[in-house]
Amino acid sequence: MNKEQYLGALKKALCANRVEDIDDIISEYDEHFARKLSDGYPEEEIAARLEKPEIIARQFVIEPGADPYRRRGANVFIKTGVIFLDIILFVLDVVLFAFIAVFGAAAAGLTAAGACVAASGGFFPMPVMPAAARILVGVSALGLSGLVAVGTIYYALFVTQINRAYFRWHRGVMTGRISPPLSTAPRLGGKLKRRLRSVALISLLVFIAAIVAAFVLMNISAGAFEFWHVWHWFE
Amino acid sequence: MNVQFKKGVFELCVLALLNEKDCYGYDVSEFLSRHMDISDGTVYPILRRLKAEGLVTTYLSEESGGPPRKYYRITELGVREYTAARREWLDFVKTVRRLLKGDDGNE
Repeated sequence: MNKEQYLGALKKALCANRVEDIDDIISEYDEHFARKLSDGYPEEEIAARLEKPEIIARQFVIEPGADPYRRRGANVFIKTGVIFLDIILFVLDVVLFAFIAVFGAAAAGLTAAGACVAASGGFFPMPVMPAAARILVGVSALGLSGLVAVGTIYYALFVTQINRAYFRWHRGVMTGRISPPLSTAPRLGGKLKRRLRSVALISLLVFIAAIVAAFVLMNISAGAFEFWHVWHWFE
Repeated sequence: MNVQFKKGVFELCVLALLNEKDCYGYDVSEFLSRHMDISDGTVYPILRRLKAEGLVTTYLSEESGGPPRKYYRITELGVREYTAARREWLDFVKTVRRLLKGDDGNE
């Protein structure tokens, strides 16, 4: 293609894509040809080095959403709404974070209780049961506390991840700056994930084994299936 | 590589150039196509888009013995956006390099 052919094709393609200020664009490419010619390039080569007119024309179509770095920030009504949403969600967020402390306390409490019951029993008032059963109940509480502890960790990561994702969305609405979307599921490194999994599994097994063993033991010791009646627990 | 992503990076490069000094469109185009594997015509749509978003502005310079030619100049908004995007890009590249260099244990 020579210059006239190229510019003609470009003009046609720009019209087809309904681009504005076509003459301004054409003059820019015209100048490009002029300067390249003065640098010693032949017309055919200049046209060849430029992309096809159809492809160039499509690049002049302004699509606000296609830009990876920027997007037009939302209008003022949406921004006001987001601020109100912030206020409401902040209160909810406080509760979410508070529950991390709740679950953590539950795990700690179970650990303490389980240890006390298994160790001394006299310190912790327990219903009548053989000593071995008491120890097993304490151990099962320890197992349960392991599960709750792992759950607390996952929950804490989940809450922080949700906060991070919300913050990104919020920034995208307010400033128009967008980042790649964040998954709401927490991401854990392989080693930590495996370790947490094994802790959870062991805790679950300990809990089930101990509580079943305690139950069986108490049945045998009482000589009846409803040992809590035999030992007058609920009277 | 994703074309859309590349486009954003080209814009960053254009802003980097204009942040140094005002240029003719042709100079920006030559500079970029000399250093990167892109066609000569790609820069003009980028310049136009940057102008539409207010990051660069144009003015005509009277050259003796020729028609007035268009100069591109970066705006204040452009400088701000460029600084932020530059920081974001450098951090991103640092992270990617770290990931590519070794295994970070992710399953």
